[in-house]
Amino acid sequence: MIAVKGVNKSYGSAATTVHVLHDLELTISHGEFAFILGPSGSGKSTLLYLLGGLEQTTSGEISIDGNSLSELSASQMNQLRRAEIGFIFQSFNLLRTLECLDNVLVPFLPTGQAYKYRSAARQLLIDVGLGDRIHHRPSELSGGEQQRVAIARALLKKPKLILADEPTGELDSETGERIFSMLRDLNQNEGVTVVTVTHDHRYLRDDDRVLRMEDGRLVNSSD
Amino acid sequence: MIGFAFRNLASRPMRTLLSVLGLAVAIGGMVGLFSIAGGLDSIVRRTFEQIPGLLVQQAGAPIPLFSSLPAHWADDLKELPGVRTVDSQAYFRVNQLDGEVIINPPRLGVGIDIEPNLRLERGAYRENLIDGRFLDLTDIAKNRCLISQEVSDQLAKGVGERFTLNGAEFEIVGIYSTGSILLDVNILMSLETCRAVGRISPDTVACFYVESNGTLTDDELKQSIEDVLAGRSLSEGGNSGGTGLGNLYRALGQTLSGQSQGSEGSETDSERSPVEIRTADDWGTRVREFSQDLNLFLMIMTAIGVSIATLSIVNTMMMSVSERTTEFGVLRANGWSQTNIVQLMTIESGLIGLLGGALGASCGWIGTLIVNSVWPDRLQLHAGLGLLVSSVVFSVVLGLIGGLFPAWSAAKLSPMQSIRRGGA
Repeated sequence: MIAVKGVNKSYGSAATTVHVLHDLELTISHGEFAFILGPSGSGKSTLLYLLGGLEQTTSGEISIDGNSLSELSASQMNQLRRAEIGFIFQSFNLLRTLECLDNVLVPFLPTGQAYKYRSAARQLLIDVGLGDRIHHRPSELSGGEQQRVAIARALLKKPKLILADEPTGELDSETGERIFSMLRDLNQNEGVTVVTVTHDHRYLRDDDRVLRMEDGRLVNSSD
Repeated sequence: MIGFAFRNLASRPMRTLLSVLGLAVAIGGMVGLFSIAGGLDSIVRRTFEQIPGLLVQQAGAPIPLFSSLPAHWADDLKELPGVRTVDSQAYFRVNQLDGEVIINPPRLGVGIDIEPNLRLERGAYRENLIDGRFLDLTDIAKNRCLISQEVSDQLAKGVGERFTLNGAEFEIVGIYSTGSILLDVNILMSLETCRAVGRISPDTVACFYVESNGTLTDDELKQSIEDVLAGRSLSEGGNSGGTGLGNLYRALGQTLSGQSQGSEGSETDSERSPVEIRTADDWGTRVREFSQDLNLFLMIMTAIGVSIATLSIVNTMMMSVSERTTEFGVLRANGWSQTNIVQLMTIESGLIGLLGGALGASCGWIGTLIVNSVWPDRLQLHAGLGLLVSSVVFSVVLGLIGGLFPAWSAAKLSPMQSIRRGGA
């Protein structure tokens, strides 16, 4: 379970401080499919990155399965991101010098264990429909194909949590549907918790958890 | 991770190439410059391996050409225990060969005392004879000489042919090649002929070449010679102390070696030695000292080029960091630590160093071979394996150092800052 307690986030010096998040309180249970909605600048991406430990809170506490992120050491935080949290970004963010297979293996390149995951990575690419693109570079793929590689990268570690920031923002609606279909399959079949930031309400379902944000505050949370 | 780093460099080929070339030029220049000192060291080693005896010359004279000693001291030296033979030698500078003015490379007329010279166990010229014969007793006071292959090529003349030396006609009896540019400038003749052509007094010689019979060490023999000549006057036997130019060079030599002149010195005439005795090791030490000074100068010169090359690496890597901010954020989001990012960046800069070093060292080495083949009679440059390997290692270290600051700049950003700054 993810617990957010009294979280504030601000940037800048004392004279020019920008308060991005104000006293956020929320919980997300295991296996939930949650959307963070809100206008630009409402702080939804910042919240997502804080959940993934990509940034420190200014005050308050975020814990995952009872472990406070602020109390984790740098190496524990790296291990958490490497093994338990999968990130999917709007711009896909594949490494352009690596072929698809190596992009999927990126979390394990510095550990020297990439070879152990090689066949699993290959299978994941086949599963997302890219069996014939394994040795292609990102520049040789369409936007939808790149996002599927990014999903395969997020899945290789068998994460407990997937954090997706506008995953369909640069895709056409048909491809967007396919991406969300894959995320929902993961959620339903593997029990992976998925938290997604989006502007696009077309992908919401009635039973999804929706967190609405405005001006850094949570204004509505459907439970 | 090395493969990843290599692909990152290959993805920006022109920038990487320019950075590698910048470093290669600096390293190539370094190899070229240090090969001068290496060449000097090599030539001295090669030269003095062939003349292992002791050279007795006037105190303060930098080389035998500027030395003048009483000829009869040879008799005293021959009587010393431990001495096999004493070859009296005279030197003069050759101004003209076959009517052509000789400036550079210099040529020296060298008079040898043929009879004792033939008794030397090691004779550099005799051992390296490649055509004709060595001088013998029939050549005493005759205008016959032994020349090097280099002089033979210059004159385009061989054994049995004649040429003029400072206006005197000489017959070539043999040709030698020692492979040392310090020795191959010499034109050998009998001592008597040398005195006549060089207008040198029959009472003087330039130096004595003393060969040990092996019963004493070089240091013991050196001390024995110093003892027997201590307090002697150079004016014995009509020695005037040499020419004005010779006196100037000797004074310079004394100043450089820290010896005092005249009455200001604390040594009395009876204690002061009129000679300097140099073993092959002494010559080697002198050249090594000079070589060290030269190396210091070369290091300063190299530092300029290397600094520019290092800044070029820093610039390249900083550009790379600014372009790849998002990439570093994505890597951090996937569990890469700050140390992993620093490793990736320093491996990339180290690879630039390795490639630049290998290319520079190869070009520098090839350059020395070309220079040596184009100007074989000048100082031979020597880029040994040690110099080449240390150049490459140095280059890799430079690459690593050049990459450290950009690497730290990349690693210190928080993952979210990196991703957002890159516009994801």
